[in-house]
Amino acid sequence: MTRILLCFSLISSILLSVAATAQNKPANVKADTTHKLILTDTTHKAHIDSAHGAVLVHKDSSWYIPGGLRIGVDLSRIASAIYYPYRKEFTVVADARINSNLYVAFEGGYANTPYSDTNYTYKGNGMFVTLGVDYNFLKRQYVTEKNIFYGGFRYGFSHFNYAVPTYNIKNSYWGDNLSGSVPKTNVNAHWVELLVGLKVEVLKNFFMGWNIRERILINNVKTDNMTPLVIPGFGNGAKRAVFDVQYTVSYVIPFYRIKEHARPVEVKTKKIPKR
Amino acid sequence: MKSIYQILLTVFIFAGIAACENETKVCDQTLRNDYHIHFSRDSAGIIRDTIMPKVTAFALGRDSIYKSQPLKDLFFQLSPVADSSLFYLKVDSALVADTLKIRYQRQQHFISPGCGFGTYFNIDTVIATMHTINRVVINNKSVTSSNDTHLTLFFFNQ
Repeated sequence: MTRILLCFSLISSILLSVAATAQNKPANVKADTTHKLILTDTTHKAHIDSAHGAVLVHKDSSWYIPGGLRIGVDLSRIASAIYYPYRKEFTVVADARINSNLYVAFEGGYANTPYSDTNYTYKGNGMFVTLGVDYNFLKRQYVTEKNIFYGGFRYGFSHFNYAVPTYNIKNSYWGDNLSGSVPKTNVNAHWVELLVGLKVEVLKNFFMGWNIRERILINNVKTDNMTPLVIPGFGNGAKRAVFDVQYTVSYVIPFYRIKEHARPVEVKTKKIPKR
Repeated sequence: MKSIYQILLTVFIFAGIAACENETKVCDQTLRNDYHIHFSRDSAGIIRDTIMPKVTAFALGRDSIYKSQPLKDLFFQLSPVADSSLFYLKVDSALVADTLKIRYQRQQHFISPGCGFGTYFNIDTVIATMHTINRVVINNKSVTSSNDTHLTLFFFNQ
């Protein structure tokens, strides 16, 4: 029942996030007073090539688009920690715009993995970082629009340790109970991620978003007698590839702007047939 | 654009449900790695599987595993705390019993988050009395699953 409720809450939060994407109001333009739109360069008037009938926009035409550092947290880790009590993870997400559609992205966090049942106890913790880029596929409806629908790539690295203080192996026929332990082991994990998702400005500079991602582990973290339960930032330690979701809330600190130049556009005019 | 959102949403919902899997709650791999013994006869070079009519087997000093039942395969649990296990095997009430000593190395192994730990065995030697057994063939030295046949016992033709 708990599982159903958690799944339902997760899905409903996703639905709310998607519903927010419908709010493509250009009202943000009004709200965003920090970045005023600089109009195109009017000192250089576009000239008309009368020989070919084409209108060319001058190279100097440019304006500023809002940049800034967007910092947030992954809320899906809260639901994850309730449903999987042994996965206590905190993830910070950040990205910064480097041009009109490209963002450099960073994620980092800490994970603690305490687990205990009748067969064994497990202790693990570690840190992780991911670095990569996101590319926005959403066509802007106005210059200061910050909503993005993006695809991205990440490289991830985690340094963590784990130990099994006690384990028991029961044998019903021989009536023996064998106990043992696995000493503390330090491990590095490397992986790559592909992701797709949305970030929507729901309030001024305040974003909500989700993304889905596939992670592929590059190196082997298993030993002959032990597999880590969880790789911080990656997920299940027994799998080479894992699927994951993120549900993020973030705030953009708009401390810089990016100059964007107009692309020269050639406007073809109708040819007048010669008489 | 609207259809893209709908497709993504559908994928996301299914993915969210699939992601709700707690791997510590289920033991999806079998913990059984019993020593699997198969019965055969060698009739002038022709090897045939055989069913022994009244098989009784147990580890010495322990309860019966099989009691006078027709079998063509045996499954023995090896002791996880000793480096050898000794079994009594009588394949027919009218025949003399044999003993089977299996010597091995043990390795504790993490099976899965749901199953916990188990013991894998690596067989060194198998020593058998030859009252009804003609010869023994070790098929697989590594005992990690009961699905593999680890030993074949060839019985004398009667």
